[in-house]
Amino acid sequence: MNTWSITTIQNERVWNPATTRVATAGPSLMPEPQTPPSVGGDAMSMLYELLSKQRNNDMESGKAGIDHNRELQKAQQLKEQADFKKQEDAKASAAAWGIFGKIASAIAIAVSAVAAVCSCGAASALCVGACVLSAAAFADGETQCLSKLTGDPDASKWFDMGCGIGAALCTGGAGIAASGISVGAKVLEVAGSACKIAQQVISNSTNDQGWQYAAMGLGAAGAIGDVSMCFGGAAKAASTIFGTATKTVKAVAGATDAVMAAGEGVATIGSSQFEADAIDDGADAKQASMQLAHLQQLVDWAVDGIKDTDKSHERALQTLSGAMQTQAQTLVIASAKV
Amino acid sequence: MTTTIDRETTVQAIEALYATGHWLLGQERFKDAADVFRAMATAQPEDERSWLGLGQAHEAAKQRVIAKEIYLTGVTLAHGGRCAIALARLLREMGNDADAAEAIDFAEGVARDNDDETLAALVTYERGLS
Repeated sequence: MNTWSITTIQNERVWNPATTRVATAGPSLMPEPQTPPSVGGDAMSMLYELLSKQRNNDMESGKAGIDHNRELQKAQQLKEQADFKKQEDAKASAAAWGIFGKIASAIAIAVSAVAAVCSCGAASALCVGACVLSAAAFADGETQCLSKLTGDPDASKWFDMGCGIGAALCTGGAGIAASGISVGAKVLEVAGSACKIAQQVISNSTNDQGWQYAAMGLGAAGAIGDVSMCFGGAAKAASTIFGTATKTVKAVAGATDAVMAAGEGVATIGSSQFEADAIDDGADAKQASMQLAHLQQLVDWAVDGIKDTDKSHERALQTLSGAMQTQAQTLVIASAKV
Repeated sequence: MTTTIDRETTVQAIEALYATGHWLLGQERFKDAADVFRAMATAQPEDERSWLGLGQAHEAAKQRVIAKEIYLTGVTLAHGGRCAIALARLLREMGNDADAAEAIDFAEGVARDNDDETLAALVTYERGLS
């Protein structure tokens, strides 16, 4: 499908962004695009179909998240019923079940988000990272973007030092294996960051802020698994996550630490869940209703996120449509001059 | 609403995206071009043209560090020899000739592995500059 042409190298008459628009000089690296007739269709209809597919993916992704929350809700209800029964059986005990129950719920949500991030694989994580970086750079400019992401005024230096892929390509072997290791490290960074978010959920799960982090994690997982995240709204959401994640990566300082953080998170999940199951006498109706309200809030947030993403698609479509129309007008004008 | 989309239609849509992004670059609408190339990259990250276009958009916007990262991503995800050459050019501009040479070596390996004569010609050209 790619039409790399030797004539492009030798013939500078073709438009050449590499020589005319950017600092670096040399033959054009970008092939001429195939015109829509040669690929057998109208460009705008193709774009509409692609965006339609992306929107559909958004909806499916969102629905999956909502279904997941509903499952959690059902499980929570069942658990609460059991807790009430246990409460009847163990009124003499005075331990604080409520806090542990809340922790367990928050961890379950956060871990599902972490699992979703990890299951996306190296390509998705790296692709998302690069696209978010690109979007942020155009929004804020290079220097501000890097400083915000890293929290370091000397951001470009950190980037030169910290990006594993750069190290693989420029200082180590340039082979695929080396690149693969770097991608793995990148994924671990992302996974480590997500685990850190989960840890934040744990540490803050006794107040409402913890639920906000959990919701943020869910949003990131949904956005990363979604091909349309490069468009406005989803990218904006993911950018927030990426900013947090990148700062956390600095603290984590390596893939090993990230793995350890994940392990620590899982260990905490195990112990908290155990305690939540074991200590049950404090389960009362008020606590249960609060937890259900929080879960409902998560569902509402997820629905709002879908709406935002859908709107961003509309904006992207308008941009593309405008571009295509302008291009068509240009062609008409050009043909009129012939 | 279309719920399924066949592979051929997806390929056509990708080509349409690339054509749009390419045209936007030509119009010096770098931010719009970046939006389109970003969409293309996310939909088909193994196509190095999207990373190449995205990197060019950032280079044109004087964002060389970001462009470098984009090219590196293209090299990693798409094993793109042309992204490697674009990276080499950028590194050379930034005064990092040693790393630029390694990037060219990588591109040469890709050209050899894929029996890509055009890429090999580009590599030869770049070596003549260094």
